[in-house]
Amino acid sequence: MAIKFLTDDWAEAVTSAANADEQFRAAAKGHHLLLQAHVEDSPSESDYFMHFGDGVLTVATGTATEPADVTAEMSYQTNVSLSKGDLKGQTAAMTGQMKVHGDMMKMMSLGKAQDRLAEIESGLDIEY
Amino acid sequence: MFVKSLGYVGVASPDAKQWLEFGPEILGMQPVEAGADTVFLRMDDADHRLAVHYGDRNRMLYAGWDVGSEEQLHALAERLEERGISYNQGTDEECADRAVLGLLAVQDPMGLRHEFFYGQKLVPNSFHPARPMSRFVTGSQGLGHIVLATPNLKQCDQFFRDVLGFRKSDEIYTFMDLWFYHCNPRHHSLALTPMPGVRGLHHVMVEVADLDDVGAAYDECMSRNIPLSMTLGRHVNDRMVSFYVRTPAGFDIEYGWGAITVDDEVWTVAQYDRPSVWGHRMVAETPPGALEMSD
Repeated sequence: MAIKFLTDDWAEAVTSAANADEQFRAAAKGHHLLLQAHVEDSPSESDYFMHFGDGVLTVATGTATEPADVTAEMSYQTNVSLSKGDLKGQTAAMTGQMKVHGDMMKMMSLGKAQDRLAEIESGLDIEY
Repeated sequence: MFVKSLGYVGVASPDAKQWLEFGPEILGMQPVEAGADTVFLRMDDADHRLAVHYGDRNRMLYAGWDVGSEEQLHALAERLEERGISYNQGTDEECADRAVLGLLAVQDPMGLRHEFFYGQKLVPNSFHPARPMSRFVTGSQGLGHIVLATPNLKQCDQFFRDVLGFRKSDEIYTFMDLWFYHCNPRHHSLALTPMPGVRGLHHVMVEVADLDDVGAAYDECMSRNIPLSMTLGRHVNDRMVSFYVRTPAGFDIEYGWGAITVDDEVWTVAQYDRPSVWGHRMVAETPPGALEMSD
């Protein structure tokens, strides 16, 4: 059964799939980043965050209680493209499709983990 | 080797006029307004080294490479024809705009425009830095270096090395992978960094002859609260002591001193796992802003 995009079920599914993936854990090991995302025109949740904590990922809807290292704003369609693997996070950030602000060093250091995360997410059965 | 040095770089920006202040007061360059839409920045007696044209968004328009002579330009044209690479001969108007005697233009594999020219206009003893400083290191080493983002590193590597004759200097593998190329004693006049789906100008490096000039520019950034992209540091490969500042045209300027030079007789390619010996902490709060989606 498909999971609805940008819901608690989606956040749990992405979290579980990423933490079960050896390649993702290896790429994210040693890195720490709290990314707070805001999605314009979302039919579901408009805000979610991703916490990368030394190889362990937590995705949740809403706003994190801690201050984010990086904030990201994008359209719903851009987020769908990222989720489907049609658009890479680095591409979206570098071309302004996703407006990011904050600690670019932390963000770029996690580039390979984010690419792997996109591959994992694109393999999930998600309803957009 | 067709290319002798990086002669000029042209960019577009909605904020072109801001360079009338940023170029001289921060970088020490000599600005020249060329019509209503263009600011030229001079770094030596060459007519100009940077051209900032008014445009609706920040992006690189062209890089200009000096091939040294009309004969070399013809030889390059023959090489391009042999390889089936199309090119355009520069018009009289384009040559006048660039202040060169002749040029041809090529799109690289990622679609960025490169101009190959000879006969850049020089006006002896005409350069006056806009603030007290030693000088920019140019001459046979050209204006400095450019770092380009590319969606296809290997294809571009083949273009610049096999077609144009650039030589590999070294490679760095870190959060950003970088391949470096030289065409004269400057350690690199060109570097490429792979970015999926992205092309464009990441930064331009200009080198000054005195470390104090770097310090003076750094002080200007600090006192005016101009955000740096990377703090002062020393690179592992070219040994440049430098910092990076975001320009009004979105790309970064690396402002540096003290780079080593390359002697091909003894040079060996190396690889590194870090960009810097010390410093160069990335403090940018936004990505570089002169990149664009590749075709």
